[in-house]
Amino acid sequence: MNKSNLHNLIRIEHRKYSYLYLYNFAYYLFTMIVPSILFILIGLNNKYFTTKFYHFISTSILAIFNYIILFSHLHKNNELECLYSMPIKREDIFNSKFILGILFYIIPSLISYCSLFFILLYFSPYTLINQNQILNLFLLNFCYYLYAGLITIFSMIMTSKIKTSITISIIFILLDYLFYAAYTGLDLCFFEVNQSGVINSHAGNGLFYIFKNLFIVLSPISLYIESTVFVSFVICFILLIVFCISIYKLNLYTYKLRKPENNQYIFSFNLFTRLFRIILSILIGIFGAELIILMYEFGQNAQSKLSIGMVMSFLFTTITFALLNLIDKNRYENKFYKFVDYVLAIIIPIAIIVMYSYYVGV
Amino acid sequence: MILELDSIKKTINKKVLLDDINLSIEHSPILAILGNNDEEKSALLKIIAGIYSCNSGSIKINDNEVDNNFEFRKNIFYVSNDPYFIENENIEYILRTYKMFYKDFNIGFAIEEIEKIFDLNTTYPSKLSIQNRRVIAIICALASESKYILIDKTLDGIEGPILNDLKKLILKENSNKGTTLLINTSNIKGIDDIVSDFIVLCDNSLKFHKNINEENEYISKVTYFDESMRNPDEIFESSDIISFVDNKLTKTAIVKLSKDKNEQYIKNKDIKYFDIKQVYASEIYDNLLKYE
Repeated sequence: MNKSNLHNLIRIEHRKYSYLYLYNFAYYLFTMIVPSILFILIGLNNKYFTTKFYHFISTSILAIFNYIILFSHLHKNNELECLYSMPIKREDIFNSKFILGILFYIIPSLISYCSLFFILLYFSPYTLINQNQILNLFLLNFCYYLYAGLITIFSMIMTSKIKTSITISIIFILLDYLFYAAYTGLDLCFFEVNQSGVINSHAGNGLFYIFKNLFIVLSPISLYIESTVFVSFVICFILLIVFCISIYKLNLYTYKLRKPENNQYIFSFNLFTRLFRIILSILIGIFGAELIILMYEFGQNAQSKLSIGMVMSFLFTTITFALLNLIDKNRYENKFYKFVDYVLAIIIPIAIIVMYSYYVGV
Repeated sequence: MILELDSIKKTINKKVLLDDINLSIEHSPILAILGNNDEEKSALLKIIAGIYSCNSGSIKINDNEVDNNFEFRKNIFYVSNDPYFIENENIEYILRTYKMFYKDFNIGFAIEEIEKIFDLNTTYPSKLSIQNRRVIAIICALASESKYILIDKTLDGIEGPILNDLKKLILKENSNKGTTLLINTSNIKGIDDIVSDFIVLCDNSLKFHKNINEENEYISKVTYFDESMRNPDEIFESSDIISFVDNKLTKTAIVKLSKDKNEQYIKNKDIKYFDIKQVYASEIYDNLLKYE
């Protein structure tokens, strides 16, 4: 790695995007400090730390916002050509932007967390703040920010329009919530941390509870929620970091592989287009059905839940498949392939739901 | 320094843009890249600049591959037709950023030249019109002290005294420092007077590569009256004829002449009335298309 070029790039980009400090700080002010003061005023001072669902949402929004701006050069031809024609390694360009994304997040968030800590310490009538709890929250939010940021970068690399990148990033991040919902049910809005830092999870309501361990490993949000005691927190933190490093490596590889001449096509890699479309449709088909059943408490018994699950899965898969076709200009040339992919995307989630139902004895 | 393109092939989304391009550039020419397909010409420059990767083939400077060799990449400066400058930054800051990546970048020269046209402190290049951005980008390219400057349609659209000043500057840098310029243009007439070489890209391949005024061979426009009404290849060798136009009474041929084949050579062919004129790249190119 050419340190001097990387250093120069960071200096230039830091100055160019320094307004992100202000935006991020303003974001924390209105999403963390002001709500916390309001909670103190109405006597719920610890609520902010215990409602972690709120943190996931706010951290994800911030990560998408920062990394969409930092990697916007990928979708601006003249800026991309200028950068790539200079004697700078693509790895350095990628790293400079990735490091700046961390910097723009970490400084305003540290200031905000410290301010909040002192506000709660001195002005709150309660003294329930656990120092480990605030540190855990900061570190896990940082990991989740990294994860959401890396997912956003991946979407930016794989697509050629900012709107599509935002959509794909949100879909990926929502999938993570769906993974969690698959084995816990829809309690993720209500899990709480008690005073000793233990999360009271309501796990066990979801259709896919038997696959819990698999979902935990596959989903950063589950790793976050399952960090119940300090030792487990360290393991989850390490696993999250490993997760982020893997996506970072994948991103760096795809970034170097990405061809600016293919910018006009929605996905840079043709193979990825088809696979992505099928996998995403299947996942949305399975978990979307689960989500709707749990959300509206459809179905009085297991048999009716199964029927509704199948219909919902069919609808979710079809809508996802149609939407992906709509945003992807590089559509199927061969209608037979389109039909095959669509049938696969429909059959697989329904088959999984039916097999699961028979497995648990419906 | 010798820049060599060896069997370059490029396809974009299954469409072949360049196929088996071989080119060797020596003696620091100002080389115009001509052809009807802008995509092909632009792709060639972008491959040399390292923006595009080629499907096969290699680019070498003095027998060293340029790809991923950043010491050699410093010898190449690419100027796009839509130059990018960092938003809301003035010219001085932008020149300093160039200096970070091109160690020999001559800030003094750039300031001196840009100051003639723009106010340094109040001008923000990102807010200028595309023509003005192109002018600043070309001056920055010349200030970079790179051995190869690739100008991708950047000179198109610049007119009047500014174009003349830029051409003088290009000629000066070319003769003083031996800078090679590769210019992709749709308006060859506008830069006729500075072009020393040109290549023609047609149907994905290199059709023509010519030095206009080589030491022993130069291309001229010969207008003549031939009483015996002979075919041109009876007067000139057919391999020397680039183009030929029959104006009924007079005939005009663009031909390669040399020390051996000069005025006396034409007189020896029993042609009494003839005129030899200097020929520009645009004229050769126009006639080349007609002749083909």
